[in-house]
Amino acid sequence: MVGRLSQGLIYALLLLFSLSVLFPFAYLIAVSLTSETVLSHMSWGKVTLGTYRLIFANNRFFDSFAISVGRTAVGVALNILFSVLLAYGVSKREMPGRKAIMLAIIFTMVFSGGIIPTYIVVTSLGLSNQFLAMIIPSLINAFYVILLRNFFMELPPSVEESGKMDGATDTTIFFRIILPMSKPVIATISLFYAVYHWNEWFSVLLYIRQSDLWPLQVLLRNLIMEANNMETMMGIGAGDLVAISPESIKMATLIVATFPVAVLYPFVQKYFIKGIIVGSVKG
Amino acid sequence: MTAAKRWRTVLSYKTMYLMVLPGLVYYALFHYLPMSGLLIAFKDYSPLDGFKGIFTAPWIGLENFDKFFGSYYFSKILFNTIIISALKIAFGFPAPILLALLINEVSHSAFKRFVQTVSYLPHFLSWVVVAGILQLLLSPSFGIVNDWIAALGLERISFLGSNEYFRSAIVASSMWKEVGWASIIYLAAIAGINPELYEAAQMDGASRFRQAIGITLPSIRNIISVIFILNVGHLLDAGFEQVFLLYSPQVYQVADIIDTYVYREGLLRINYSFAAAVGLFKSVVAFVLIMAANRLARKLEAETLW
Repeated sequence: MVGRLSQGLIYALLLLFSLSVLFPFAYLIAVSLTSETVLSHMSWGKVTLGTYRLIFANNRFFDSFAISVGRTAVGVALNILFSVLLAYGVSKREMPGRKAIMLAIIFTMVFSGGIIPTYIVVTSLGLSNQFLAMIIPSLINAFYVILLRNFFMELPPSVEESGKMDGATDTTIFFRIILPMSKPVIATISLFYAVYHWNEWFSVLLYIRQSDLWPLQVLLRNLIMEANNMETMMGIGAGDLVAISPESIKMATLIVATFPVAVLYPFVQKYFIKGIIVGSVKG
Repeated sequence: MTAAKRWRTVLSYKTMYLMVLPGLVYYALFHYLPMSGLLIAFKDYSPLDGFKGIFTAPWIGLENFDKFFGSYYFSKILFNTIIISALKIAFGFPAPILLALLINEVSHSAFKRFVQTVSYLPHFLSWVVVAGILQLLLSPSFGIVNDWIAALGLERISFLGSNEYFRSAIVASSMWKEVGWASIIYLAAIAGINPELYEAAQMDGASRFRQAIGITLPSIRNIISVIFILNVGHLLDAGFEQVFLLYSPQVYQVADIIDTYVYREGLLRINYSFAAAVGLFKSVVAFVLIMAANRLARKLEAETLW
């Protein structure tokens, strides 16, 4: 009886929590679809796709979306290339200098030069205002290297040994044997990097000057700020802008920016979970 | 080992060294080379001099630090940073543990998966999105939260614009975003606990609550300790992205943290030396904090970072 009550309480709390996460999205979707400025009465105004039409008509939207996709694709490819090579190299227990290299990598997790010195280096290398400035400074994440390294170290040595006995070189072993076996962990780490690239915006603020290199998040942020200014100057604009309030625009943009993540997320989340669990319990 | 033998060992790993090389070049260029840039904290650096300027700029010693510590804002900023971080740790650190304990009690697997999946979702959104949502919900003119407040007959509150509520909004939204994701690690650790411990406790008549306190918590104290150390090490960070996106001049008094101040005064005003000095201060303090927290954990015989 007491057990039943506290069970019920736990379920109720968790349900409440889950709804509190979902509610903002439901609200956004609802408002973005109506022409009502304020959904205060939770009443349904005219349902309209007007806000979405406005956004998609905006050229900048598709350009930014393409930049985000491009950045994520190129970024993840380079991230994985560098991270996996590094991780595999330091996974060799008997390699001389391994400890020093690991120390050098881990040290960067607790101390760094800071934003300005990094900025100076990046701009001096000619990366200012370049697409690659969004990718290269954050090329390798030490934590993920550690996860990958631990994975490689857990692989049974017999696999490599049999390869060596067949006369394969280190390179062949790596590409023909190790990599195929590492697909799950590489997929997981790729997803981690992908989420990072899709969401990251501060490096753009620092290094990018031209708006046609803006990824989606930066465009979104600027749209929100523009819309904020619009409502302090309400009434300015085309006739149909009055019917589509700045809030609706904001909400629709948020929904559209969130949409790819929200859609892919259920399918992809189990990889994240496994990755975190394997990585941290072992590491 | 003889020198010859040692050399042969090194040579045998040449492919590995080659593999490691690109990564090391990256770290050298983008992590260690910038550390030399920290020199400009003690100099009067002008960005027009480029990279060379780090070494050619004139020394001004601790002037930048004096400027920072002596500035009118220093104590306010430091206080804001520490208070926001402390609040985030005080509320945000136990929350995922509590969530993990609650989720662990659920036997209905579909509901369990539902709660978990939903709870991780905010973590994958950028702060641009979450801040945007928050601004819409909390808006004094059309936000739904204020609509409810007005319906109760109370006065509308500008949460993000008022000194009283801003920090609470920061802490609460930060928790909302991260509690699910943070609970994963604890759930994984809990899953590793030997079920026999629970069976024994049950036979001794311990309630589920008693079991949670007496078995689950102590069993995961190591992971709690590690994560706590990491949190303390980041005490001076306080979440720049979030604060930057949500703050406004009205609330600088309570919202301005070290990073936002450095962004405005150091970056936007091209006071690079000044910004670097404050950045150095932060890095050093963070380093000391992590070391101290690690030592404390060792004394308490909990798991340490190394």
